[in-house]
Amino acid sequence: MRKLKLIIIVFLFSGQLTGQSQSDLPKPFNNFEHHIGMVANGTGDMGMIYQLSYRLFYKNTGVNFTVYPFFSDYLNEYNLGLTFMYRFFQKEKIELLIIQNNYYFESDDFPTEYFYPSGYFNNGLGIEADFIIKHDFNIDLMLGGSFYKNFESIVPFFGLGFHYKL
Amino acid sequence: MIMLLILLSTSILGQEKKNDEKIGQQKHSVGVAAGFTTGFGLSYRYLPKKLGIQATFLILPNNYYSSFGATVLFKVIQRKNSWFYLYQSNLYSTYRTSGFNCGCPYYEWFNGLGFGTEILLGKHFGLNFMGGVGFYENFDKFTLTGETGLYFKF
Repeated sequence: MRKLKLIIIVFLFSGQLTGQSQSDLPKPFNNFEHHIGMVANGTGDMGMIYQLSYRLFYKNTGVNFTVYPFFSDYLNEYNLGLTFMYRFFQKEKIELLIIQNNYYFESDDFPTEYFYPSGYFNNGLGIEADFIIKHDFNIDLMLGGSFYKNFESIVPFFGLGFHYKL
Repeated sequence: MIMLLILLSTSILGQEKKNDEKIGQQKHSVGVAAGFTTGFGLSYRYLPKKLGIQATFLILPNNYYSSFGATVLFKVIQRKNSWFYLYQSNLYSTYRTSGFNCGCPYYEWFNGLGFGTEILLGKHFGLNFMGGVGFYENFDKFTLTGETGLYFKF
């Protein structure tokens, strides 16, 4: 009986140690999340702009890179975006984030007297709700206010996107 | 007797697990698709392992419009309820022009490259979202592309 007790104690202790050593192991990439998807943004009189999107999160802080290219014989334009995000609420089906977005637009179509050299910035602040549809797939709604065309005016912005968690 | 029961239960559990793993990994899919570079209409997919193909076509009467799409799919991530893939799409479409060119058949090529995900709805249905970049109208235009599709998997 004593032997049995000793075996059980040793077994439990060794199990605890193994668990401890596993949790203490460095996990350099475990806190990172990668998301890839598409976003449609609407700001001011620009209409909807569609963008490819990549998101990198470290715990609750993230950055979102977006790009929209359009190159043709009659028009060349592109849009680059960098958004900083902070996730302040997280449940199984929904996440809420504060977002600060920065977009740069450049187009052949802009009259150069208004847009020197030929592009402008939009800088916004808003809130985003991510609806988790199926574990790794979420649909995102964005809403906020934005400084429009190099701080010329303030306009509301909205966005809709989908992302897949890699 | 006890050993037999244990062995039997283990094999049943193993079988269930095997069936669960196969959900969403069926080789064949048929459905409808709509996309700028993959095509519109009826669609068939064959994905035996990581590499697969998608064929999509639509033929409207009187040669008004028809399109034939061939897409190569490459599975990158397989999960229980979804999978993630890369694609390269090629679409040939032809239609009759209107206006002063009335009646002349016209054709265009569309080629795309991007990523996609299939979200499984139940055991046999998959909803697809795809995005990327593409050449439009015989390489005249380069911009974003988006595609979608709903498939029955078997």
